[in-house]
Amino acid sequence: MPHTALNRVIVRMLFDPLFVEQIYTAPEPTLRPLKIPDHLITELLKTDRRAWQIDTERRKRTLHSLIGEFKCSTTLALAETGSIGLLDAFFSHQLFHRSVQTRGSLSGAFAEYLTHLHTEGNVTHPHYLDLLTLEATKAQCRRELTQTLPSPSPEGYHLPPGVHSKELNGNVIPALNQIEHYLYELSLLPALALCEDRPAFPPLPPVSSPAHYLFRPREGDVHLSPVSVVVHDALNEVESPLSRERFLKKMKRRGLSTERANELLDALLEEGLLYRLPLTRKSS
Amino acid sequence: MVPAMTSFEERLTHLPRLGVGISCEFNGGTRALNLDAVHTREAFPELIHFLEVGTDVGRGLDEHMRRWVETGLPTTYHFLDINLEESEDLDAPWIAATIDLADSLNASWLCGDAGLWHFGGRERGHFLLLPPILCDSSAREMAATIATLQEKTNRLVLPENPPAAAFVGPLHLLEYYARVVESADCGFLLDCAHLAIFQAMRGHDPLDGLEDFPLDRIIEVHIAGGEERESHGFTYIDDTHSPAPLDACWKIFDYVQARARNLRAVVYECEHNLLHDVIPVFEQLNQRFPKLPEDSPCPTPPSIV
Repeated sequence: MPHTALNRVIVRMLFDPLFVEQIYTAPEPTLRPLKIPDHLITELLKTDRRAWQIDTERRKRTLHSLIGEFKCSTTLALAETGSIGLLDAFFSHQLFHRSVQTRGSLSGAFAEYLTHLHTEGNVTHPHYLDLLTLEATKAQCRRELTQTLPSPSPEGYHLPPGVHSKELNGNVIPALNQIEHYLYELSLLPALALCEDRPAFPPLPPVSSPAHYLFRPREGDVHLSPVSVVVHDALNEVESPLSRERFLKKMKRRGLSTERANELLDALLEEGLLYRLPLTRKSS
Repeated sequence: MVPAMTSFEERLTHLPRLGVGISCEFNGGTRALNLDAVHTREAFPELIHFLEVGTDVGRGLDEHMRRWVETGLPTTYHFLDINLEESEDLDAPWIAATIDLADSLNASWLCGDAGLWHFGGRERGHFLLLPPILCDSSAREMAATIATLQEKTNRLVLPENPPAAAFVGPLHLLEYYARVVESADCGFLLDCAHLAIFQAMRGHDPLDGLEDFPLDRIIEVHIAGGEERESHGFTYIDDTHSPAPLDACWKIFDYVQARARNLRAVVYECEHNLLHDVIPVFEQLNQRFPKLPEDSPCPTPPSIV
């Protein structure tokens, strides 16, 4: 619908003055590919371009909201780069614009952007990607808990909403705790940011060998606990729904006997780490 | 129990007259300046007759709202999280949660700014308030969304004209909402302050378009203060909810109040101001829209059999 397409454009304009400039300078080439009809392009251009930028705090407020789920990875990025501009630049990046244009999740797009900062060489700390994966997975779990399951869901074994397993370095939790403690110190006296004798960003423990962490909902949030590599592998095989037969085959390829794989599957069901949709059909 | 209703006229027969009320938003009490509706009502029972509760399904009711509910006095429910202009935003979990909230408030009706409250899904960082695109396709989609919402909740749904520094589209705002309310067969919440902003931004007289608007659809009006501001040389009116409504806002209110024969409620959006600054306006509003002897103190909203 033309008004839907135009609304998405307007949202992008509210966040990005560069996009506003592009629209007012080259309206047809910018807006026609976005399926905005000519008569609405005319209407849009009647608006004083300054009207789109009166809320000068919009990007900061939204960044504050997004950072809430990526506290440690963004803190590490800021500690390394010393530039809030690098995070603010998200709102002029194609990842932000694509997210709005496709009605996607801003949190997901922000996670991609933070990954992009590493890919581009802006943030290189050894803990950065694992911290980002940890925080992005928690964010994903939270969203799964509020989403309606697709109907009808495929038959077979499924991961429940909010359950995932990730391989991260074994010191990622101590690193996260150190950063959170540092942020807590600053929160006691925010004006510390002005002081030359402010607390320094702490040295983090070294990256260690891989460990496996289960993410699952508990007490209104998403909690992490260490799990064996066997459980981790089993849960990752079920990221897409599987029949028992296919699960056994996949675990056999990983070196697990059929008997052990069956026991594992039943244990995961018992624990609520998997659930099954009916496989049997009603007899006529 | 009242059977499910399907027409605006039917719903109107069960609609209470609430008088003048005050608004509140979730955790408004955490702001430095906030009028407690229960205490204000206790101090001035002749001036405040209902509470308009502004919240969303993610946050529910706060302690202040619950205290008002315990008084048994009337409420209306002002949603902050549904894109009436975007039918795909109307999902079953939201509807169910909204019904629960409205029921817990014993809300006489649902209302809220009609445009977009968020872009994409209801997620952190996505919330903002946008007016609708003032074009026919938008009006049709909004009408369809409202009609569905009324059917599912069996409550009257009043779209409200939102504030903005920029409105895009060929239609006058009142022409747009006239199409919406006629097509959806619903009532309307005219925000006089927001309309004054629109008229000023488009270079209209405050009353332009009202003579052609179906005033009998207006069930509720809002009145609030606004202030002229400037940004990069661009002058606009900010919807500040300061104590003093602009002259244009009063002009619109007086015009509508004299002609909207189905008007049931007036909300003065002023809760983040000092009490002594807002009492005179409450007094004026009660003179212009007095509480009548036949108004029910605790109306029972209609619900599905």
